[in-house]
Amino acid sequence: MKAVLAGALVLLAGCGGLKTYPEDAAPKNLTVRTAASGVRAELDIHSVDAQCRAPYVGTVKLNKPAVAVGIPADGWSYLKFDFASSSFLRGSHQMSKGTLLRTRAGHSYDAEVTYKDDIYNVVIREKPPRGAAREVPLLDLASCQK
Amino acid sequence: MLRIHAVVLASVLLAACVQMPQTAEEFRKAVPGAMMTKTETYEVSRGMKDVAATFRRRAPECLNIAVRTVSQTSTSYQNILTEYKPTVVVGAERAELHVQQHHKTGVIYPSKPPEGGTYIVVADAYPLPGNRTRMQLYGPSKGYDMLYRAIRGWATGDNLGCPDMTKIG
Repeated sequence: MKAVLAGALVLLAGCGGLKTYPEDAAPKNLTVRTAASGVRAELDIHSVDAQCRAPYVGTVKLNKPAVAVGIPADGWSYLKFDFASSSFLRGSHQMSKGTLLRTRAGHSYDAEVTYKDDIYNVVIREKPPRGAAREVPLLDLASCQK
Repeated sequence: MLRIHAVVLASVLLAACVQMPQTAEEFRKAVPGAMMTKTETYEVSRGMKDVAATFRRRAPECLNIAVRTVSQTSTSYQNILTEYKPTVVVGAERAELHVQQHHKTGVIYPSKPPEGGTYIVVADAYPLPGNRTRMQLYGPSKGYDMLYRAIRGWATGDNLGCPDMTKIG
């Protein structure tokens, strides 16, 4: 018995080659807080152009409680949170949750990522320079066309 | 491989043993007499309207997904594409969450599945006095624990996370 792959279809094509997301891509405006058990958590970051093409830029390993990332401001990005696990008996699994995110200059973003007991959650909040943070709705890549 | 076979078997077992339920109501009636199924009842300290609102918010985001499962041994290869479809129906007497599963590839159905796929879980929320809700669930007895846990989290409001549907089985 050897299950070699079980994956969600939300995996984007064309991101087979893993590369580290550049540290100097932009000033750090996104903090990813991760609490994951039993899986490897990663964040794939894609830029999104006016034609809704989303080339892969790089991956950030979410192996610390908090990781700061710089996402170019005043534009759209596609963030894909991956939760991967593997074992001899159960094979390999990867669940992904992706969302479009429009980052705005002067704003900061906080992503809370959890995975426990086969239940995962991603919550993103936007903090303006002044005032209260608000939760950002998660949008799939297809909504870019609308 | 055996595990995946078990999942597929469980999901179509109702169809093999009895006429495949074509509606959620037929599913409710079929589950108590079918193999490898169960009913589950519990109460939560939230009003039915709040439970229904959480179902409406979380079910589409968490359960409107497709999962591809590929397994391979030295002698076999299996590739199953499975789509899930949630439906939330809210009435005066209860709020319902239906979860359907359709294997688009890799599985042969013994009879025509209903539109949207075979019913795998139906969760009903009934209002109780004191802003409480009684949950009644129908579905498989094995392999779907994370889905049951997610529904319980939505019902209690304690955990709004999504079930990892790649772990089914």
